[in-house]
This record gives sequence, structure tokens and C-alpha cells, in this order.
Amino acid sequence: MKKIIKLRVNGEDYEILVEPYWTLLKVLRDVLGFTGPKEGCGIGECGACTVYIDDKPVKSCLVLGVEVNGANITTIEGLSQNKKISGIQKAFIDEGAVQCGFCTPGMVMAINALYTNVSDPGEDDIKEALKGHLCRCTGYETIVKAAKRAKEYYKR
Amino acid sequence: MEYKFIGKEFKRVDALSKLTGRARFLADIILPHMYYGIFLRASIAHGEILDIETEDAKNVEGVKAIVLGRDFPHNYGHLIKDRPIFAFDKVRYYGEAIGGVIAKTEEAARVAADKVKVSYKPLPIITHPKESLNNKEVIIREVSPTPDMVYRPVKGTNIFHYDVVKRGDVEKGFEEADIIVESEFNIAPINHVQIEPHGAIALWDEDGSLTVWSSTQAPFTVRYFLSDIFELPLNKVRVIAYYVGGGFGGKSDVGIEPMVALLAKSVPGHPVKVILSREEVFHGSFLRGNFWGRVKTGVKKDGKIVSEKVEFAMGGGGSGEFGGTVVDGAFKSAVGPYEIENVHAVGYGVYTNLPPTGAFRGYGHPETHWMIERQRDIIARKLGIDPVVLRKKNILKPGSINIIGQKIEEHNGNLEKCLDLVVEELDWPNNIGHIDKKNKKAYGKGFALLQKSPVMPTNAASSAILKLNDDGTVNLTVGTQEIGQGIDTALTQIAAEALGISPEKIKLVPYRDTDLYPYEWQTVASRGVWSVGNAIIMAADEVKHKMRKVAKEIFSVDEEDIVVEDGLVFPQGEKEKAITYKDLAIGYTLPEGSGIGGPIVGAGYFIPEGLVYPDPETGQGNSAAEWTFGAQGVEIEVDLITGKVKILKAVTAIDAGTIINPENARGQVVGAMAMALSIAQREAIVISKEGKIRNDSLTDYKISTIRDVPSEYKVFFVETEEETGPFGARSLAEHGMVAMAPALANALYNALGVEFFKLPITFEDIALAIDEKKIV
Amino acid sequence: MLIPFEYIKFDSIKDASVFLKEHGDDAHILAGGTDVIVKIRARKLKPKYLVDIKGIEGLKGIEKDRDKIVIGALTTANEVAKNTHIKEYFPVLKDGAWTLGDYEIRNRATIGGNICNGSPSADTVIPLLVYDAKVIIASDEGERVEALDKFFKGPGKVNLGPGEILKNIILNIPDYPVKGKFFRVSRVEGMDLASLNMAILVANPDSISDRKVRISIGAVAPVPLRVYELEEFLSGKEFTKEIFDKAKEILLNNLNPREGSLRATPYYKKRMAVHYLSWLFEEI
Repeated sequence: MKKIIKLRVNGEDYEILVEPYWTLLKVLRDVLGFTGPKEGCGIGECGACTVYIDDKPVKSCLVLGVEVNGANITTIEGLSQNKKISGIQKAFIDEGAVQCGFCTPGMVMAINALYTNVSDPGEDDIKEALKGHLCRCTGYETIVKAAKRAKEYYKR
Repeated sequence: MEYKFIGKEFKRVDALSKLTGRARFLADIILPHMYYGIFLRASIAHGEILDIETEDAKNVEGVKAIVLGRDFPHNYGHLIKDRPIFAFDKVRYYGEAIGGVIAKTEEAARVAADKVKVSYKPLPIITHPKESLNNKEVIIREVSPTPDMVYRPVKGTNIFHYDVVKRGDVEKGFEEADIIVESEFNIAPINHVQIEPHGAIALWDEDGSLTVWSSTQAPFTVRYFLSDIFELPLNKVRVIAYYVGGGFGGKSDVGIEPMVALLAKSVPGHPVKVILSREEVFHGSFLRGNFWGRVKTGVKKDGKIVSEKVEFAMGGGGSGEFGGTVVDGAFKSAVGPYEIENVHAVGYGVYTNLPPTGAFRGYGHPETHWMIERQRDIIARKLGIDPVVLRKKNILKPGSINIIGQKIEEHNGNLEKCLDLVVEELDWPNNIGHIDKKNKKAYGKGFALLQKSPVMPTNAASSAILKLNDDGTVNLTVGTQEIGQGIDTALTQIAAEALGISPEKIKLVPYRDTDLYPYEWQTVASRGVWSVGNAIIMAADEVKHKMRKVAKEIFSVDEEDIVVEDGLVFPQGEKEKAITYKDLAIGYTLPEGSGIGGPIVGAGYFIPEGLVYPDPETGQGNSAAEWTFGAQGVEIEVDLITGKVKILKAVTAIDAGTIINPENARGQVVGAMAMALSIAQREAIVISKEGKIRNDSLTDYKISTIRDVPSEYKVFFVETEEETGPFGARSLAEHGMVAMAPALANALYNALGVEFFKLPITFEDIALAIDEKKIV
Repeated sequence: MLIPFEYIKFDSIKDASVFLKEHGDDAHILAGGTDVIVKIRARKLKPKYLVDIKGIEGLKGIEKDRDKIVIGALTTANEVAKNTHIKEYFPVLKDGAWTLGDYEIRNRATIGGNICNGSPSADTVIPLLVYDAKVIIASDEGERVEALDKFFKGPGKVNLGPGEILKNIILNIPDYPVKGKFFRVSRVEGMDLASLNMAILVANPDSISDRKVRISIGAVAPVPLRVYELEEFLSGKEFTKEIFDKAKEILLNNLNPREGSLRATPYYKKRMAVHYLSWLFEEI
């Protein structure tokens, strides 16, 4: 039976009708049109679907829409506000850390979350934050570099 | 040569949209009145389909139609015609699609699909290529040769294709040799694991035209096959593709598009969308097939290789259409980048009860190099000479004749320099390996050489269109796909260089559409920059030519006296009179008000000239368009407790000609090294004795994570300009894959004194070897 | 994609319990969802009702109650790993919890879910076992206490009766010195399930006669394994080479890893278990 839920996504309020078996990822993508988060595996292994629930990063393929009624959700689309991209997005461009782009939104969300928890993350913190994010293109070299480089932007 | 935009820093044109979530991928597309499809998949690996019971499934609410293979018993293919859309007579691998369910929601389709009951008459299964090669009892697929068939199946066997190379007399060569070295090698089947699963949407209009949206690397090839299968003119088939979330070859062969199109045919007016689940990607797309091979080498005491016999078989899965050409690729590198007088190589593609083999980054080359570059180190050890010395005695240099009889020219690249760069970076031959018993660690270094040419039909063509806008900016359309490799960025730079305007003024229009964009064979074989780049240069020449034609009227001088340069058009020696591209873009207005010229559009094409089919008996002939050479190496630390290998450094030196975009080129090489090491260290499709893929998820098919990749990457570009390439560029994107596995195994020998002959070499294999050798 | 089910959320154990009892196998508890949703997606679990217990008061958080620590079943793995009491008194549990999934999974995964999932290699269970954890199980009929060690019945099977819900985990704060360690090996160094995990705890490590050892191992038996025979043998012993040889033998006799695991071969698991055991003899 469909249920009405309220979500605040990237600062906008939505009231929508969802099936109980729709994951948060599906609700965001198919109902609300936030297609930034991607489904790569559907079981929490790849990290491409990472979003924030009340500022905590989670894998949205493992959460039901109905479970988070009333929550505040942030997707990759919400990281760039007022035409300004976030520090980590800038750093990804600087370091050439984007290739096919499918894992990118999840990577960016995870690193951005790291910077809200740790002001000066080291290489190990970065790798810990990304240990459940798979990338098949880059060999992760530029992603680690971008995560380090982002420091410059978050300090300001 | 000095260029304005080639070889300079220029950030990816697709980066921002991919970082903000705006970039579009297939799964993001939702169309009005869309239905969802789910494929019905075989629950056994080999057997005749007896009965399919769909009544319960049809009664599920929301189900619109159920389509079965038997409704359309057709095998398609360009080279052998052995691909059913859906299996109709028998199933040849676990998970093979036998039909599909269309429903209003994906959940309804799933529920219904689970209610379909299929009965089979099971047949014995074969999964290993060597077993399939030698087997005459279990024939997985009967194919009778026909005159127009490109492949060479052997009747009464599972062989669907083979290639032969014969040069000189190997037996005589072995007699002349001082020592003979024989080795046997194996490689497990693997999956591409692009993070984006495959998907397609198909829509049939009431007028019988078909539109397919796909995650393909090859929209024009998809269009060709759809038109062939459904007997439609090409202008009634439209294929639209967005960014591809990782291809690596696994989205270049035609896979689910005909299946989705067949489903959609039963519901005209409704788009039908199918996105494979990750599990389905493992058994419902393509694999890099398993591989078996044997190498026998005759060598003189001084290290000169006089004779080499190579035999290999590649598991092709249940249909060979897209696997046979991988054998074609492999055979051109059957002895690696070496000049050997006497060679006999035979490569087979054989049917197995596994998902079909298709393209995989490296296209047969990582497989043959695994054997050859291991064999080179083993030979050097037996002779007691340095493997660098051994290789230098035999490698291809200008003037050498390669395995297919081509003479290597200066412009083909400098392999020896690549080798020198890698061994220098490894500080070879110092400290090539030792065991540190106290800290329970072992250290080793290893290297290997590589070569690859684009594996493609002799007539694989590209085209490009440049369109000037009113303000002098330019729109560029091409048919090649952006699959993460950065082609849109590199081609933008090439267009900028060719037109003499800054890349910021050029928009390479994202996404592809066969109705609107110019033809492209496929986005594979690392040939995009080389092939499409040449087409863009030709298109730019046409743009310039058209501008000259108008300018000669304006300036009243001869056409050849008009200079087009840096966005300006002027008569020779009179730059102060210059007008801009903007002035000419949509036609020029003369002082009296009348217009001349018109909107300027330039079109260009490229086809590799002079390629021929190899001779069927000897494999000789000019069948490879250009070669890229390189060398790779690793420094490793082995944990003697866990058996785990840490890659301390991974090195590649590659002669890819002129580098168009250094940052992105490095990204390709580094990414390929990481992928190759992931494959070499851990990747294998695990098959149960019933033929089922046991690790069909990312929980159990593990690729390298951020904590598993090399601590340091080194990339050296040697830039010998390629004569046939745009601004001297040649192929680059696959090559970092080719020799990493043997480099790793060679390093493992130097660390532990253990020879590994199969891939992957897992930490468990290493731990076992450590125990057996009592190293700790 | 998940096949259809109904979702129902309760705010009391009583109501949830009654519902669960009434619907039997048709109903399944939803806590963090990181295992349940995976199973539903694979159609290994096909519940008619998914019963969300996250609205129930008193199932979240970690409290110190004199000589005890009480962990609510809905406490997330990250909350466990970051909790000051856990870090201070139960560092082996902290380490185990921190290796579960990744940061994002741990923001959802709960300690109760990790226990009730019944995996033989659950990363919070292996440490909890060496701390002699007890669980409080509640239903509309009341509560019962059980040793965690007795809670596991087989792969994916735990000792929860109809309508029963895991409520709390109880840990007694040791009033004697302890030294312990959590060990884990997996196929990749990033996120991965444990191929083998193991916890060793030594009470009174500096006094040979008062020494007591507890050892638990994951992924070597149908349930998370406490190796009592080995514990008894090692208690009160000096950790010499001879004792190690004998201990190794007892350890190996107690391990029964299944063939055909995709995580590691029995050979490798045994090899690593022996290596981890050697920690006792090298570090204590």
C-alpha cells in the first residue's frame, strides 16, 4: 500500500506517494528526478548511491523511502548551491579525478562528509572514507589527490 | 613539433556535469508511458528447453506481455551467426536469457518472471577451453560453415574460429636451438565490472520504426545489427546513447539491445526499459573468456630466440560472434613484440558453457602477453642471462619483421627506449628480490614488454562534422562515444589545433544519436583519437577551404593567397586586413549589403588505408594499422604471513606518439595498470560444477578498492610521432593493461623463487606457495 | 529492485511483538536494513510485512549502569565504535565494530541487526563473545536473558521465538586487568566481509596462575565459535613454545570451516587462525 511521506531534499520540501518497497535511491531518482546518485550494485558494495540522511552519509540503495519519512536528504545535486560548486568538486576538476563519472557522485559525497567530520584528514582517513566506493577507471590515484587537494578549499 | 593546444593542459569537458549529477546516463532516462522488462534466465548451464509454463506469470497484475525465444527463433551475427536473441532450442550457459516479461512496473515484471516455469533436458557441461578443444562428445553448438562466413568453425568440434601464423620452419628452428623451454598457462574468466550496469530502452512507433536508447559503446553497430535482425532500413532505426559509465569493451558488442527491442515489439508505442541487475551483468553480458595456452621456445645460448611454437584456446562461451575477433587480436601478438625467424602459432576460439566472450580492454593481448612475457623471464633464468639482455636481443626495432610480416618503421615507436625507462625506474638489476625473514616480508621487482594494434575490421571508419556558429564558436559532432576515456576532451583539443582557435570556443556536443551524428564504427580498440582525430582534421580543412573561398571574393585575391590562422582570415602579408571566423560563419555581408558564402560546415572522414585480410594459412599480411609499444614494471612487497602483495610501485613507459592531453593520458595508463593488477591479483569468475557463476555480485567478485591499488604510479611517455595519426598521436587507452600481469608474476618469482603459471595469483595461492617452499 | 512487501512501524515492543507473533514467517524485523534489504533484493527473504522497530523507545544508545554497559540493539555500528565507554572498557568490540562494512554502512547497520543476522563471522559478535556478552530478549510476554554464545543456532539462524525482539546487549565491565585483540583478514583491504575474524582476550595477563583466556573465531563453523577447550587449556599456563604447539593442535581440532567458501579455503583459514593465536605467545 502506497504511503505519503515528506522529505526535504537539497533544501526543498516534497510530499510524495511511495510504495513501501521503493528504496530511497529509487524515490530520489525515479520519483523526484535526482538522478545524481547512481545504482551500481543495489547492495551497498559500490557506493555510487551515497546521499546524506540528516547530514550522515548512507548508501541509499539500502534504505527504504518510507523509513526516512520527515528526513532531510542531501544528494550530489545539493552540493553545488547558488551556482557554486563545493571544494571537493573543484578539487576533482583540478586533479583530473573524473573519468566515466558513474562513481563520481558517491565519491564526492563521501569525501565532503569526511571534511565535515575531520578538519584535516590524512591519507588513511581518506582511504577509510572511500573503502566502500568502487571505481574501475582511475586506479583511485587522482581521487586520493583530489581528496587531499580539497583541503585548500575547505579551510577557507 | 610545437602545438598550441595539443599536449597542453586542458580540463575535461565532461567533468563538471559528472560532478554535479547533471551528466546523463542510460538509467536516468524515464519516458512517458514507459514499461519495464525483466529477462527470463536459464537455471541450468546446458540443456534442451522442453517446456515453458507462463500462465501464472501472465496473471500477475500489471503484466503486459511475455516474449519467449521460441517466438523468434533467429540467430544473428556478422561473422558467424550464432547469437540467438533469446535462447530458443537449448540453453548454453547458466543465466542465458530465454525470453522476457514486460510489465507496468519493474517489480511486477520481476514477480511474474519468478513465476515462469521452465523444464529442461540437461546436457553435460564444459567450461574450460582446453577441455572444450579436445572434446568431441559434447558439442555445445553445431555450426555448419557457409560461404559468407568470416569465421572458420571446425565441424564435429567446439571450435568456432581459429587463426594460424606460420613463418619459417619451427621444427628446424628447434633443432638449431641450444635449449628448449616449454610452459603451459591458464587464465580465469573475468568480468569488466563497469560501475554502470548495462541498460537499454526500446520503442517501436506505429509506423514500424525503432528507437533504442542504450548504454552502448557502439551506437552505429547496434543500429546495424538491429536493422539486420528486424529487417529495417537504417533510417528507420535510431540509436541514442548518453555517457557510458565505464565500458572497457564490455559495452561495445551488441548485447541486450536486440532483446529489449524484441520485447518492445509486442507493445508498440510504449518504451520498454531494461537495466541489468549487477548479478545479471555477470551472467547476462560478456566476459573475458578463460584462456589456456602452451608455448615452446627454442633459444641460442646467447639469448637469441630462433623458434617459437604457440598454441592457445580461448573459451568463447555459448556463442562466438564477438569472441572470434578476440582470437584474431591475440594471434597478432602471439609471440609478443619480438622478431623471431620461425614461428608457428595457432589460436582457437571454442564454445564453452559460460556467458559469451566479448571485447575486454586489451583484446586478447593481455592473454598472450601473460604467456610470452612469463616465458621470456623463464628462458633468461634457464640461460643465466639478464632478462633485459634477453629481450633486447630479440625485440622489434625499426627494420624488424613482426609476426604478421610487417616491417617495423621508425614512426611505429621506440620499444627499446620504453624498456630502458622502466628498468631505470626499477633500478634494475639492483636488489631485484630478497626475503626479509625477520620482518616476514619478501621484496621483488619485475617487468614485461607490450605491443598492441587496434583490432578492427580493415574498413573501420570514422567521421566528424564541424559547424561554425554566428559568433565564431564551433559545434563539433562525432559518432564516437565518451566512455570515460576522455575522448570528448581530446577531440576538442584536436579540433582547436586544426582550426586554430582555442578549445573553449569549441563545443563537442555531448551524447550520441545515430540520426543526428556522423558515422562511427565503434568506440573500441583505443582508436578514437587516432581515427576520429584524423576525420576532424579533414573537417577543419574543409571549414578553412570554405572560408578561403569566400575570403577570396572579399579580398579579391587568389584562394591560395588567403591565410586562415588563429581565428583570422586575411590575404597573405596583409594581416591588418584580417576578418574573423565570426565574420564568415554564416555568410559574409559585403559593404553594399549583399551576402556571399553561407553557413559554414565542414565534414571529414577517415578510414585506415591499405589494410588487408591476413592470409588464412600463414596469417601474413598488413592487417594491423599501427602499433603502440611499451614496457611495464612493478616493485612489490609480499607479506609472508598473509600472502598478500602490496604493489609499492607500478611503472609504464609507453610510446603512444604525440600525447594530446597529458593529464587524461596518464589517467588512462594509471587506470589500466590498476585494473590489470586487480585482475592479476584477485579476479576470477568462480564456476560451480553445475556451471553456475557462484560469485555473481560485488560481495564476492572483488575488484581492487582504494586500499588495494599501488602505492605509487609512474608513467613515462615516449613521443615518437605516428605518421598516420592526428598530430602524431596513436593508441593508448588499453595498453596499460597488457603486460602488468606478467610483470607482477616475474616480480613474484624474484621475491619468492616461485613460478606462477595461472591467473589470478591470489594471496591464498601465494600463502600456499610460501608454506610449500617453507619460506617462513 | 525489491519485490513488493508492506511496511509497518511500531513504537512499542508490545505492539511489534504481537504483530510479529500473529504473522509468523510472513513478517520480518527491519532495523538498519543493511542485511535485510540485501536478502530481500536477492529474494532469499520474501516477507509480506517488514516490521520497522526503529520507532521503539529504549532500543538505542549505550548506557553505563555501575559495573555494566547496556547497549541498545538499535545502536549503530558507528555509535558503538565511537562510544567512550566501549573504547575504554571494550576496545576489542570497538575494533570489531569499526571493521563492519564501511562508514556509510555503519551509519545504518545496528549491533542488534549484526547479531540477529546470524552470520558466523559477524564483526561485532566475535568481540562480544570474548566479553561474555548477554542479550536481553523481549516480547509482549516479558523479557529473558541469554548468554550471547547460546544465541546462535546455525548460519542465519538465531534463538528468537515468535514475537521476540533483541532488546539490549549487556557487558560486564571487567574488574581485573585485561588485554585483548581483534584480528581480521579479508580478500580486499577495502570494504569486504571477513574471510576469518578472531578475538582473543586475556584476563590477568601478567599473572600466570590467574590468567584466563577467551577466544572466539568467525567463519570457521556454522556459528560464531567460542573455543572453550582451548581457553581451558591456556588458562593459568605460561605461554611457551611447547604450550603453543599443543594449543595449535587443540585450535585446529576445533575448527571446521566449510569447503567451497568464496571468502577463503579451509587451509587458509586454519593457517591464519594459528597465526593469530601466536599473538598470545609473542605479545603476552
